Amino acid sequence: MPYTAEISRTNPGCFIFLVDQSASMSDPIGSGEMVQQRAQVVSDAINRLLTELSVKCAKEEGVRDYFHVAVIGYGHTQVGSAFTGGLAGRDLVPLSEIANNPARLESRTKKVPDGAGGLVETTVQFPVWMDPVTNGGTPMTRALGYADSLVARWVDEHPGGFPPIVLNLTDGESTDGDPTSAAIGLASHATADGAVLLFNLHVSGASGTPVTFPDGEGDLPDTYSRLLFHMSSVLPSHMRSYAASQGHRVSDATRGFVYNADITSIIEFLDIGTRATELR
Amino acid sequence: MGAHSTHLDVQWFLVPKTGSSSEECEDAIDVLLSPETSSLFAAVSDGASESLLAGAWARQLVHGAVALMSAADEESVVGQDGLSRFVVEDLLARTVDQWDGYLAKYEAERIARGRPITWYEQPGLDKGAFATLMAVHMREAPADPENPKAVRRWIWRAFALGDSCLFHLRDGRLLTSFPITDGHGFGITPQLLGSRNRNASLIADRVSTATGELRTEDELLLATDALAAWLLSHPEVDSGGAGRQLGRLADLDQELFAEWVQNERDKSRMRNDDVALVRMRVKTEG
Repeated sequence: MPYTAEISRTNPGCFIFLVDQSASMSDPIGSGEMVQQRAQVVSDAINRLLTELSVKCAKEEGVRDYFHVAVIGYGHTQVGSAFTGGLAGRDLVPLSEIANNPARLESRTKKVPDGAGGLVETTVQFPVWMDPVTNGGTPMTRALGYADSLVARWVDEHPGGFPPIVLNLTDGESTDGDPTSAAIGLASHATADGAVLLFNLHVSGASGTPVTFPDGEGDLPDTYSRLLFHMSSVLPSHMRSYAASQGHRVSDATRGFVYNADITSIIEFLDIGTRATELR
Repeated sequence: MGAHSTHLDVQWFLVPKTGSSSEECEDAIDVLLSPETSSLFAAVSDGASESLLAGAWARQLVHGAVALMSAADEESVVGQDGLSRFVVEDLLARTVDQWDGYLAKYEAERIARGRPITWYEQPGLDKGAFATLMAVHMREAPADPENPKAVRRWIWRAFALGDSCLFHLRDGRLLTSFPITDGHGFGITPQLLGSRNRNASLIADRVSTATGELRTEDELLLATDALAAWLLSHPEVDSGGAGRQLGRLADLDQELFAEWVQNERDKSRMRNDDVALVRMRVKTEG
């Protein structure tokens, strides 16, 4: 059965995040008091995910390398590593190195229950590995090609492992041509456990209801959203079950795709799309 | 016909999952034979991989359970209505109440070694460690005053939280499987005892108990989930094949047992997880 390989230190998992850094990512998302820059929301979500992964894989005296992670930015100036600080310029990095090398630890305030039915503000440490960047166009085809080269090397070195998962987060149409064939090429790489998984998230414009994990084109409004839908892999069964447990309606055809994502569905997309089989 | 004497015989094995060292093994075993060998106390525990210090917590639990049972001895901790709240509070006093002291020593030792607790360890330490627990007390039943020469009987009483199992085998055949009774009963979210759980009533409700009577040469096995699932998923478990195989394996040394476990994993017949096994028997000599 595909997508059941155990994830262990000898057979680690591989996550590649592709982050749109085009100029339009400086536009707002959310409403009322919750308005934030799209690029800020995406980088916060990825920093939070890296924090949660590090905590989840922490054992006594270190983080176990159950995963290797790359965060690749694509915008006007370049396609390449979006890490800042000590990991700047690096592609796939073992999780223990990520945990030990945040660019900085920010102090952020968070509201927590005060034990008497109310909320109280407290300061928490927020590790940061990537900062929001916004500039120029959306070279998605090049970004998928970049991921292709990382994935090709990975499956060569880990032929029996869980296949790499590529999560593409964007707010606009590709400006360097139709990305379909690059996406097909990327998802054609495979390990003995299955083909590479490509999941896509489209960040919301000012309005519109999110379409989360669709199993058909029916609810998608235009050609562009249908193109991203077809570029997205069907969710493997353990992710489908997890998505269902989070209240999503799923079927065997459900794809790893979110259109018009709001802040909540960005976090959900990353949570479901990086859900691992049992760690060993 | 010469005189026969009986004695308790016990072996135990710990095998870490493939890819882990023996120091990283998060299963734990404790065994104690009473000085006059009329009682045997044993416990196994399976620390949850996703919690920090799970191995240390599993060891604390088995030591606490064995100490609890041996302190009670003839007054078995397992009553007709299960485990009383009083007994659970005693168990928590020996385990949960000791955890903060253990953590303080651990943190001080990390500072002394120049490796203080990091930001990614702290949330896990705050949440606490989690593990299953299976404990059994095996003892000789009191002699029948009206028939003092009758064959002595042996009683076992066990309590369990989670999916670590006890198996009672006769001629290799499975008489009792407790608390899981078939191979489908092993999920990835078993009941666990947390190092910060002081809710004795809740734990008393969740603990299950069982008792049985042993004949000479019967076997009692305690096993954590990977090995327990292996045994229960064997089609010939009822005819005695798999049980007898485990019995023969328990006569081997640790290295050979570990080789057999590895072989079963390599053939995908056993899940790659830590393995703990305790085998207990009443043996006759003479």
